[in-house]
Amino acid sequence: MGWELSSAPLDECLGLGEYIRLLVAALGSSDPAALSRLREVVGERSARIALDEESVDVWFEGGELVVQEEAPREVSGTGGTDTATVLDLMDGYVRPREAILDGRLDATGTVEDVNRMFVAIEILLDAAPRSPALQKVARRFRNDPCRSRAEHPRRDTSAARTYPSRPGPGEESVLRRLGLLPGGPP
Amino acid sequence: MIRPDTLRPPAPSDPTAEAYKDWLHLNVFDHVSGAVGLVNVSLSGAPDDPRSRAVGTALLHVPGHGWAGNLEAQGFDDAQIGQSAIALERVALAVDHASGTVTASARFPDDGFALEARANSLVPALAVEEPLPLGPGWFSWYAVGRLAVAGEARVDGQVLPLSGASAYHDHNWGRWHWGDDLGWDWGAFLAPDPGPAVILIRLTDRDRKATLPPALVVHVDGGRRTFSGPGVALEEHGRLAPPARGVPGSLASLHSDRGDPGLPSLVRVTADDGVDRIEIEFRAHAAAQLVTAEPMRRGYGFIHELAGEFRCEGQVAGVALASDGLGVVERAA
Repeated sequence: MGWELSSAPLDECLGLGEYIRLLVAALGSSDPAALSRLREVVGERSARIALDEESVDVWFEGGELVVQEEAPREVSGTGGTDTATVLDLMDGYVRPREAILDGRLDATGTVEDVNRMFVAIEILLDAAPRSPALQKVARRFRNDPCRSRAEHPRRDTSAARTYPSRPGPGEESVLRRLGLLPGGPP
Repeated sequence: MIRPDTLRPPAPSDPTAEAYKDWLHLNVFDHVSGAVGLVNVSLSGAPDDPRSRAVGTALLHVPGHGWAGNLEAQGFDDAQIGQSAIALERVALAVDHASGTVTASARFPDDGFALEARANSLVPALAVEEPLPLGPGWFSWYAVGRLAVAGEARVDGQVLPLSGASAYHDHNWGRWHWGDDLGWDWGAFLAPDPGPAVILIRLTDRDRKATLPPALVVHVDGGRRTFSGPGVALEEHGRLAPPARGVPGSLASLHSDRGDPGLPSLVRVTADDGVDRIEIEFRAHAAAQLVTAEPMRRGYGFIHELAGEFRCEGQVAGVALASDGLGVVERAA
């Protein structure tokens, strides 16, 4: 299925699943090698991605992206955030580490699955400067009337922008919640 | 009037066109509010390649508020590119050499930021037309060390009048790739007019080892004095908090490992040629990170803007110096 940006009027709200389809289609059209790496990294895994109140399951089947908005299935990992956080990340007001520590960005799964989710995101981000098509998707998201800054105002991060030699309270709290500190979960 | 200058796009047959870079830059120093800002418009990549990008950046550090502004990127075809002007949707900068005027504007309503500035040159331009080695590539430089500003900035509804502010303008062009073994230290230190305006430039490799002797240009009392070579020294002390802002955010996120580049909180520059002498102590208040990307092949550069205040002392061209002002130090690697 071809997902062209031109098929979506700029003043129309697009759903999460449509953006994921647009991103993968844009990656494939501008950097097929990067899409191959993305497929390789994802492999047989599936993920549940949530944005605000939306949630979709995604995976590759026969090399093609599948986005399923309906019935939840067993997935390898989950990732969730909200539109304000996506805009804050795009505008450089927050970095992923701070978003995670602030509880604004969640990723769950085994270490391997979570790692591969972030590598998949990195492949998209790394391809974007050389892909006008991916940049167009980013502009489409920013111009989406349902994703406006007025409706999703920026938020200051409470996480310190320092990289201490030992975890700070925020990081320690996340590690404790996930049972990753010595002694296991509380 | 200032010395004529234009953007330098490559000829269609230029085999190095994909490494093409052209930058127009304006730094604004508002001595009343202490705000220090930059407006930069740039072109990167072969003009006939649809991947080539025009990038506009406008950032203003306001004491007590932090960094305001943002960055945008467009294809060359979507930008308006003139002889010495680049206008994107939200950021534009134009130089009129006949009147000696640099006009800059930026509008990022989602960030609560707008800036309109018209800057008139007060000193002659300095032009280095011959290519200077920059890593495996080269660059050339055209700079106006002091301009007087009229205009205003708006940050989250607060109006900052810029009349009385000082400015610095430069134009860089050349061929290089972000991610190559190159870097630079650059600084502009402007006391309120008629005080001194001082420009520092030092080209480095990516490990910040100097590849050419540093130079310090001092505008004072209507004259210009240039120090260069071993008589110019830089020292860095302390550690500044990591950049509070990284733009574009997508690339700052991609390079989270560069989130704390270990920037200094104090930079001391001394220059002494046996006749004249100047010492500058710059205290940084905050840093922003600009992540630059090659549009046609993989490669990234990291430019850090440190906004702050300085004090300088010394004697240049018979003038005793003891001035305070605002400054910016830029570190690229």
